[in-house]
Order: sequence, then structure tokens, then C-alpha cells
Amino acid sequence: MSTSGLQVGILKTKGIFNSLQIIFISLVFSFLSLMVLYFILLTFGFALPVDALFKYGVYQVFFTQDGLSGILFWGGPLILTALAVAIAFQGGLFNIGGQGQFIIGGLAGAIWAASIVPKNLPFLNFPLFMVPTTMLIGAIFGGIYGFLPGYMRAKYEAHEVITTILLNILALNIAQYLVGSRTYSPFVDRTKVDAYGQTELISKSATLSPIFPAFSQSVTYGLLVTVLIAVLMYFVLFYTRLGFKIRAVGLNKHAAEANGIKSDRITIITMTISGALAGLAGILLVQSSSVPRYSIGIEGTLGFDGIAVSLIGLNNPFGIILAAFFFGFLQQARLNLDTSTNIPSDLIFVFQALVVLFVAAPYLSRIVINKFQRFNKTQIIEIKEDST
Amino acid sequence: MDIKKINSFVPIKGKYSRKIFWFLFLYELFTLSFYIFNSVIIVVNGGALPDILGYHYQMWETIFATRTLSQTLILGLPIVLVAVGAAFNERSGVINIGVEGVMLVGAWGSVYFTWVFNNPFIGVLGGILISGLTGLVHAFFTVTLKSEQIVTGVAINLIALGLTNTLTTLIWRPGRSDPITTLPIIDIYSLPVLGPYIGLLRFSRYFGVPVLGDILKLIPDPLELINGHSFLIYFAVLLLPLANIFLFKTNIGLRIRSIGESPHTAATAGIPVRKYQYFAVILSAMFAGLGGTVLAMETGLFQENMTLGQGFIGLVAMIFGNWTILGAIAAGFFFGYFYAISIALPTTPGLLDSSVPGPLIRSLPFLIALFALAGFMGKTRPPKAIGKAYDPQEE
Amino acid sequence: MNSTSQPILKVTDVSKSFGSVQALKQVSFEIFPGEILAILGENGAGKSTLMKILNGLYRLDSGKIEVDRGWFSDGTPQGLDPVFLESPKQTLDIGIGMVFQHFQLVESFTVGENITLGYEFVRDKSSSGYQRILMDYEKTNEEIMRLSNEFKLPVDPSKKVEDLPVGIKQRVEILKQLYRQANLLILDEPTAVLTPLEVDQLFNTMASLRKSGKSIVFISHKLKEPLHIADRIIVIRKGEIVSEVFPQNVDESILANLVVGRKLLSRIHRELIKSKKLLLAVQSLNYEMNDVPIIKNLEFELRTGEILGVAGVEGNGQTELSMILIGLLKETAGNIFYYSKNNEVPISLNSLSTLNRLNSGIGFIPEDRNLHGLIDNFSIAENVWLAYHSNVEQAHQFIKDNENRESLNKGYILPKKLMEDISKKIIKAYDIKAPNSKILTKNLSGGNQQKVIIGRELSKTPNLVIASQPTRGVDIGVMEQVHEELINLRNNGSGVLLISADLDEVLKLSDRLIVMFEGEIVAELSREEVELQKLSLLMTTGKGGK
Repeated sequence: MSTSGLQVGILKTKGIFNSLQIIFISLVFSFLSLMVLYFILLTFGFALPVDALFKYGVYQVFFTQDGLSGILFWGGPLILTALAVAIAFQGGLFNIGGQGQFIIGGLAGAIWAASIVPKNLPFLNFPLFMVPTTMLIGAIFGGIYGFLPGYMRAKYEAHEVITTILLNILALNIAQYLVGSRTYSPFVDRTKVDAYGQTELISKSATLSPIFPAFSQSVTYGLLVTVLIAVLMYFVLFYTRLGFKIRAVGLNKHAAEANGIKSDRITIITMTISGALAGLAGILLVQSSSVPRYSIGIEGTLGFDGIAVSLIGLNNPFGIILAAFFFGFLQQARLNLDTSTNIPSDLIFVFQALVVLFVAAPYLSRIVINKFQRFNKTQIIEIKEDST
Repeated sequence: MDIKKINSFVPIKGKYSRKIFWFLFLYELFTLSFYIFNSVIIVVNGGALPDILGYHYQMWETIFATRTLSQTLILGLPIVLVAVGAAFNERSGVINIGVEGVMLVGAWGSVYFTWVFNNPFIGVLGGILISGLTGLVHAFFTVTLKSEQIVTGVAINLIALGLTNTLTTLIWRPGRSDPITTLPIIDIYSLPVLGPYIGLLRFSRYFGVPVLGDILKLIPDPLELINGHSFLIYFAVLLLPLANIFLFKTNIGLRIRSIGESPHTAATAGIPVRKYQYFAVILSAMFAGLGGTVLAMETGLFQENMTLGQGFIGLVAMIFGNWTILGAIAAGFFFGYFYAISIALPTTPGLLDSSVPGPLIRSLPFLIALFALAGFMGKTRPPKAIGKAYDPQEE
Repeated sequence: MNSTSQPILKVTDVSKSFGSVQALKQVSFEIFPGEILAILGENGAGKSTLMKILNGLYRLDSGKIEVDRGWFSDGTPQGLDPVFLESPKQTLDIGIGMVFQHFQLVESFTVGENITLGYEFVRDKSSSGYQRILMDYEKTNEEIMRLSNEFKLPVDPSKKVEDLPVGIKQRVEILKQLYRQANLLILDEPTAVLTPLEVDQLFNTMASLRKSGKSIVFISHKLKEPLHIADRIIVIRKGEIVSEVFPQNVDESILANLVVGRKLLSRIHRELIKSKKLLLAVQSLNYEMNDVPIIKNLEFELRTGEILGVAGVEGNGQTELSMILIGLLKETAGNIFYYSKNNEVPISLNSLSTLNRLNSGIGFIPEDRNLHGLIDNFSIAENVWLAYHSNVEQAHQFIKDNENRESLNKGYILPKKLMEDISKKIIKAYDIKAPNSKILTKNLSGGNQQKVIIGRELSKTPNLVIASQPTRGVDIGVMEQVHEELINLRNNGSGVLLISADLDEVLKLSDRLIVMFEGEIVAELSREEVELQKLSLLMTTGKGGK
């Protein structure tokens, strides 16, 4: 019987330095794979314009105001979706339902602020009430959407990977139902011809204001909230009794139970927190956007990207903040490529997915490390004692 | 839930009577819930209650229509193929969540190769081959490099999604491919010599006969069910019993299953564990790829993310079928049936009001899958050594 | 025995190390045809490493292994050839068969499938069609019946292995090796899981195998058995061969000194406890799993100042009993009453959660320390804290830190300083070999891991301890320490329920013992009543006559 839930190889490595080496090598591998793909495409006659790739994918991101603020803008939701993945990892669970929880959170919060709260009641429409309640609604509904697979895992042993994927697809259908059509969607402004596919604009009092009004429109106080939450999650995981229990259940559920920890309850709590974080990512994105409303497809692949961010952030909230901004850069590059070139931006998505593949294969990186450090073998070879 | 306990509530005794009771009970449950759902929406919109008896008749005609069952074959087959394939790799101890991606690759590959060579047979072959390659990647990472199997599978899904989108954009246009030549359709009624005689057995010939015709109208016509599909469908269906024989009646199957239960036992019996795992994972990927191929060939082109969760439904079907081939086939067609129903219901007049939201009906298979997971997961028996890479140094 | 003949396998100067740990140092020995050679040593002496080298699972660092291929193939000696053992398959091909302590059987397969696995009978070997891979169960069963008759090892080839008792499973293992034409059998601790009756049967089998010319290597840490069955005994200690003796020249005490390298002292001091109060009462306890009864109508009582031993062959419901008592499994029926400290009224454990049971003064030493005991990737401090996570007050009591009592924190924050203080105290008290309390327990040896568990459970000064196999897989030094601690606990007025498959341990520690057979208590004996003969009969057949 396996003693632990899901454990990604990198969690088991020794020391932060070793882990960073593995991350670095994995990034190099991912990049090299992409180069190989580039040359394969070239031989088949699809020449990607490298100069345009660098101009819009790199230069325009790092050396323009829009680009830089884009990194920060996308970094925010990525921190949260990655935290959602990370806390589940720590609890021995693999939440790939970030995508669905993001949708449900964003949708619920946006509907609350756009359609439920009457806009003509001034005593409700002030920021101190609207901003936190909207965030809360987003987090709560995301949390419910995380609670479901958690509950199914705890009570019925239904694997969360499969249930969250099914719930992701259901979330798309729910969004389609709620705002997708003029004929049946309850939260669409039916007076307008082309208003389907999105909620109405959310109440202005529910939007988040930009931190640097002069600098850019889009980097809002939501980012500040996000970073605070990341710090809070670090504290929760490593300095609180709840975090202790989450990690205990994640590493060895049976031992945790034998010592009186109710692993079922912890599993449900972990998934609920995880879902709430992803839901919060959704609603914060809505509240921070320059056109503040939920539209179908707004989630892009932010939920899935959280997996990669979490892995290269070593499932540690501080690592995740750094990794999220790197992925924020990639996200901004994707947008630039989409708007300004005809290079398929999905290539960058492939790169992100490759990172997941390689980070999950620390053995490969170890081979490379061993080649470089042939003299320092004892550090790498696992010492095994003769146990029987 | 315990079947025995539930059965004790059934007022009828006898094996077959009970089965008939359950069948009718579930049918009523299904029909009534749709009737109520539909009526509520109609009444809210200010309409009159539909006739309940007529509704029953209509529902019966729809969900047991020959067309619905024939759709079940086509829509269920990709799921079944993924489920059967997944049984192979899981029995060898390797989890492959990446089957969704493999399926997508298979679908893309078959369309691409058909398009390039303008020959659907080469297309099918190409689709299966590059799915096998994707399986090879998964096997390399999980078996040789001992990566976490679930994370690797997720990565493969994402890579497949990104890569097929990229290539589709580059080759054709963003979103979808050009339509392709599909495989020839086989019509058994126009077979030489035998064709006309087989045609005598068609139900529709006797619809005019009093009483008999009315009864026949209510029963799906088995001939119509198996007729009129493309060559690929017959090929894939024929593979299914072979897969069962292969896994459960041959020594190769025995070895694969022994690895999933206890790789160390297999190794001490002199079986090259990793080689067999590679074999099982690649074979499984080819099955999943064939599933994608069927999907693409029936659609006639490739669309971005066209599998839309069918690979995962296939995994659920495999679990539902308790890691056996026959179980996976049954469960796969069960889910396919609900796909078919979710298409048939909105298109039959009178069953669902036009204001009934389509997305809710389309969610049906996924809801069923979730309930299936909730109700049956604990009862299944997965291979013992599943999910952990084989390491000869460890015990 | 035929010591004048040529050796059929010769090991010369074999060394093997794992990192900085030297597991084997220049080990040399020979095996002769038709002999039973016992390799005797403590846990961790290097027996398993040696065995895995002979099986091709581990590569040796230096030294060489030679085999007589001629003898292995047809029994005619041809002289020794050096071999490099690289895989289990290769050793199998040579003719070396290995029977592991943990059986290498696929539980859900039939006996026939298990025995022939890897060398299956197929419909038609010579054809090139699909017949080549179709299993032929008729032929499989025929061949197994033939083998089974030849070596007098009766089995039913179409039965599933999971339905067989342990002794038969071992028989299947031996048949599997014989089917593969092994001429040298290596048996790793074959008697560890067997009942005395089954041990006798095994020894008969071994003797008859010897008669038919096969050689057997018998690895054991028990002293009596090699004396009984072996032709020659090699004693291994700390990776080195310290002695080679013949059983007719030695006795148990000489052998014990050779194995341990020092005299065994029994420092047990059993205090006379006068007033014994009721502590635990189990009434008509039943447990079923998938409608199969595992525990049937169990009734027993445990008093303060008493060690109640649960004897029995493993798999007769003891594991489930310990898990039910601690709340990890839910009983099907029955009552469990428990008198907590200073409490005259019993509490019913049935409805209490595991946490509440632990907090009411019950300590739990689980059977499998890496499954239910420790979290391998947690530090010592964190693992110790597992026992205190909901009971900070008790933690303060343990380190008697009265100055900081007002800062006693019942909130949500993890008290890191306190965690470290407790674990340091336990490390010191139990002499755990670890540089600090931050080291992960997976990096500790088995014995030290067990000390962490026992240290943390006993530090709570429990009223009742449920100890399941408390010394499994630890060396004799640690074993003695654990025994002392359990006796101390008893002398101080706590109760211990000791579940152990090690009969010596149960006999040494228990005041009273119950014997479990097929989920039932078949006898309850006081310390004075125990007779070994009767006990083994009770353990194996459930009958022994009062």
C-alpha cells in the first residue's frame, strides 16, 4: 500500500539548491524541445518569423509600458491559480479543476456585482461594501466548486483528477447557460442584440482601482491582495496547525489518521480552500479588467497554467510569486503574438506544458546534474540502507 | 449503496421480473424527471401542460429509436476504445491521464494524413501511428524516467492541445481543418447475392402490417443498427473482443496483468517489466488514438479541442468497468448512449420546449459520469501496484 | 551432507556498500551439492543484501561469484565458472531459485498462473500464429499436479492464491522455483510467517529436497531452526562472516553469542502489582469485511499493571483488533469500555473518534511504522508533534515548562519552540541516533524510527498502550530497550495490550495471554499456565484442550 497521496518528484528532492537546479534544467529542456519543434516545422516548410517572435514576444513585453503592466496584470491570477494547485499538492491532491473553479468564481462574482445587487440603490453601491462582497462571492462559489471534488474524494474515493476535469467541462456548460445565449440565459442583457456571451458590466463600485493611475490602467489593488494572500498561505501551510494537518495528510494519510487527524475532513478543507483561491483568481481578474465583466473564454488557460507555475515555484507561495510573473510574461507574449502577428500563440502554451512535463521528471535533470558534478556523486545518489 | 438492500425493496420476486421492474422504474424516473423539468419551464413561460401519456410515448420512441442507438454506437465507440486502451496500461501499472491528449493527437493525425495523401485509409493508419508515438513519450517519462504518472499525463494533455492547435493554425486556419475525404460507407442491403435477402428482414418493411407494425415501430431494428457505417466502425468494433482475448486469455496478457499487480513478482519470474509496460502504454495509446480517429472521421474534419472530455469519460468508463475489457466496453457504450440521448432529446419535437437550455442537456453525460464515480468508485478493485514506477532496487 | 565433493557455488571476497554504509565486507563462502546451508545473523547484519546479490537484484562492488554450470544443468560437476549476476532472470536461468520472505506471488492469480508465470504453457509453442500466445490451462494444471506429486507438495492449481493460507502460499513459491528447475533454493526467513506445524512441514519438505539432490540456503535470525535442519551454519555480523560452524558442535547459547557478539542479558524486572483495576473491557466484538467475518465474538479484559499478550499466527484478526481499538476500523458489533485515569465510570469507545481515544490516554504503537506510525517526509520534531497536535497542554506537561505556561497557546499557530523541545527530550531519552530534531525520519534507520514512535507514545504517559509488533525489524539492542520500556510502563500501573507474532516476545513480557485463531479467542492463559506444545497447537488448530 502506498503511504502517501500524490507526490511530485520535485517535492522529494533534497534541498532548495538541488530543486532550483532541476527547475533550471527543466526550463532549458523545454526551450530546447521548442527549438526542435521549430526546426521540424521549418523542414515542413512552415517558417516562423523569428524576428517578429522576438519583437512582439519579448521586446514589446519588456520594453513597453503595456507589456510590463501586462506581466503584472496576468501574474496576479496566475499566483492564485498556482496557489490553488500548490495547497492541493501539499495535501496530497492534484486539483486540475482550477479552470472550472476560476470560471465559476468569476461568473458568480460578476453576476452578483452586475445583476443581483440593484445598481440604483446607493446605500449598497459603495466600494467598501461592493469590492469585498464581490470578492467573497467569487471565492465562496469557487470554494463550493472545489468542495465538490473534495467531498467526492473523501466520501466516495473518486479520484479528484477525473472529477475536476468533468467539473471543468460542466463549468463551461454552466457559463454557456447563464450568459451564453439571448434566448435562455438569465443574466444577459436581452435588450441588446449582441450582448450574449458575457455578463453586464459590473457595478463601478465593485471594480478595483489601479495602483498607478498614471502608469497603467490595469495593475490594480487586486495584485496587492493577491500577494498578501500568497504570504498568508505560506503562513497557513508552515506555521499553523491546519497547515500541519494538511501536510501530514498529504504526505501520509494513514499515519495522519492513526494520530487522530481526520483525513477526510482535511481533504475536503484543502480542496475547498484550493477552489476558493482559483475562484478568487477569476473574480479578481473581472474586477481588475478595464472592461469589467465576465465574458465566456476570459479564463484562457489560466487555470491549467497554475499547474506549471506551482511546480516551478516548488509548491511554495514565495516561489510561486516569482514563477507567476515569469508566466505572466509568457501570457502577455501570447496576447501580443495573437494581436500583432500570425504566429500561433499556442506555441507558448506548448512551452508551458513542456515545463510541466520536464519538472515532473527530476530524474532526467539529475542525469544532467550528475554529468556536471561527477566528483560529487554522494550528494546525488540516494543512500539506501539495507532495511530488512 | 448496496444492490442487495435496494433489491429487498422491490415488490416483485423472480430474477427476470425484477430486471423488468428495474428497467421500467428507471425509464419512468428518467421520463418523469424530464417531463417535470420541461413542464416547469413551459408553465413559467405561460404555456399549457403537455399531455403526460403522449409524452411517455414520445420519449420511448426517442430514446429507443433505432437512430439513437445507432448514434450510441458511433458516439460511444471513441469512449469505448479509450476505455479498452486504458485498461491495458492501467493493468500494467501505469496510469495514463494523457489519453484525452492522445485521442486528440489521433484525431488530428488522421485528418492530417488523409488530407496530405487524400486517402482516408492512410489517414487512419497515420493517426494510430502518431498516437502510438505519443504513448511512447508517456512511457519514456513514466517508465524510464519514473516521473509522477498523473502529472506527466496532464502535461501530455496540455501539450497535445497546444500542439494540435498550433499545427492546425499553421496548416489550415485557426480553429479547424479543411474537410477531408471520409471512409466509404458499407451498405449491407446492396451486397451482391445476399443483400436483397437481408433486406427482407428490415423492420420498416412491415410497418404497414396491423398490430405487428405498431409493435415493431417501438423496437429498435438491429439491422438498421449495424448497417450504414463506415469501414472504420466495423474494424474498431471487431477489435474489441480481440482485446479481451488478448488481455485475459493469452500469456502476454497474463504477464501484463502480473506487472500491474506486483512488478517485483513479474521481475523475479524473469519478465522484462519495463518492456511490457512500454508495450502496454503504446498499445493503449493506439487504442485511444483510434478513438480519436473514429471521432474525426465521423466529423469529417479536425476541430480545436474536439475530444472535449471524451478521453476522460473513457477513463471513467474503464474504472466503472472495474479494469476489465468487457466492463469497459459496456460502460463506454453506456456513456455513449447518454451522449446520443443528449443529442436526440432537443431535436425531437414535443420533448423539450425550445426555451430549455441546450447546455444543460449537453451536460447529461458528464453528470452521469460524476454520479457513477460517486456511487461505484469504492466498489472497484484497481491493480495493486498502479501509479508507481517500477524500481528493481526497491521492495 | 557431502563435504568432500566440489562446491557448486563459490562466493569470494564480495563487498557492497550503500553510500557510506558498508553492508558487506569481503564475504566468502561455498555451497556444496545436496546440503542445507544456514546463514544466520541479526536484522541488518547484511543477510538480505547478500541474498539480493545472489539474486542479481544488487550488483556487487568487488569480489566474485563462481558457479558450477554443469551441476546446475544436469547434476554432473564440471568445475567453477565466474558469473556476473545482473538480473533475477539470469540467476533463474542458471538454476538459482529464491523464495522471499514477502512472497513474490500475484494474489489475484491462480496457483497455476503464479507457478508458470514467465514460462507459461501456450496452446502450440511451435506454431507461428495466435496459438502461440493463447494460454493452455489444461496443460498448466497437468504439469503442476505432476510436480506436486513428485515433490509431495499438494496444491490445487486452479485456486486463487489470495484464498490460501500462508503455509500453502510458501509451498506455491517453492513449487514455482522447482517448476523453473532451480537446483539451488535460497529461502529468506521462511519460518517467520509460519505456524509451528507449518514449520515442521517445511522442514520435511527441505529434507526431502535435499534427498533429491538439491541444495538449499536457509537464511534466518532464529537460533533453534538452523540447529535443527542445517548441515552447516555461517554466522554473519555487521556485514562480515564471523564464524562457520556445524550444528552438532554448537548449542543455542554459543550460537547466540556468535550472532550478537556479546552476551544477552535479560534485565526484566517484573514488579508485583497488587491492586489491579479494570482498564479495558471488550464485549462480544465482531468485525466483518465484505461480509467475511474477521473477528468473531471477542471478549477480554485488561487491567492496570498488566501486559496482556495476544498470541497467534499473523492474519488471524490481530491487526484488525488493534485498528478497531484505536478507531481506524469500525466494528460491526460489540462494545468496548475503557476506564480513563481517575475515572470510575467507564467510557464507551465505540462512538469516540481516533483523536478522542488518543486524548483519553491511549497510546498506539502501530504494526507498520512507515504506514501508520511515521510520516517519512516529516522531521523528527513534526513526527513527534503528531501525537500532540491537538493536546498542547500535555506537551507542556511533558517538558515541565511551567514558566511559559501563560503563553500556552491553544490557537491556530504551530508552537515551533515547544515542538523542538519535546523532540529533543525524546531524542535524548531514547538515545535516537540523529544529529538534530529537524532531520527527516526517512533518513533514520528502522530501529531509530521505531524509537521515535515509542518515545512519542510513551512520553504522553498513557494509561493504556496498544502495541502491535513493537519490535518488528529492529535489532536486538533496540528490542531490549523497547521491552524494558513496556515493562516499566506496566510496573508504573498502566496496561499494555501486546500483539506480536514473535512468540518469544509474548512469552517474555505478558502477564496473561490470549490466543487468537481465525478471529476468535481460543484460549486465555495465565503466565504460569503456558506450555509451548499446547500453545503452538492452539495457534495452529484453535484446539488444545483445556
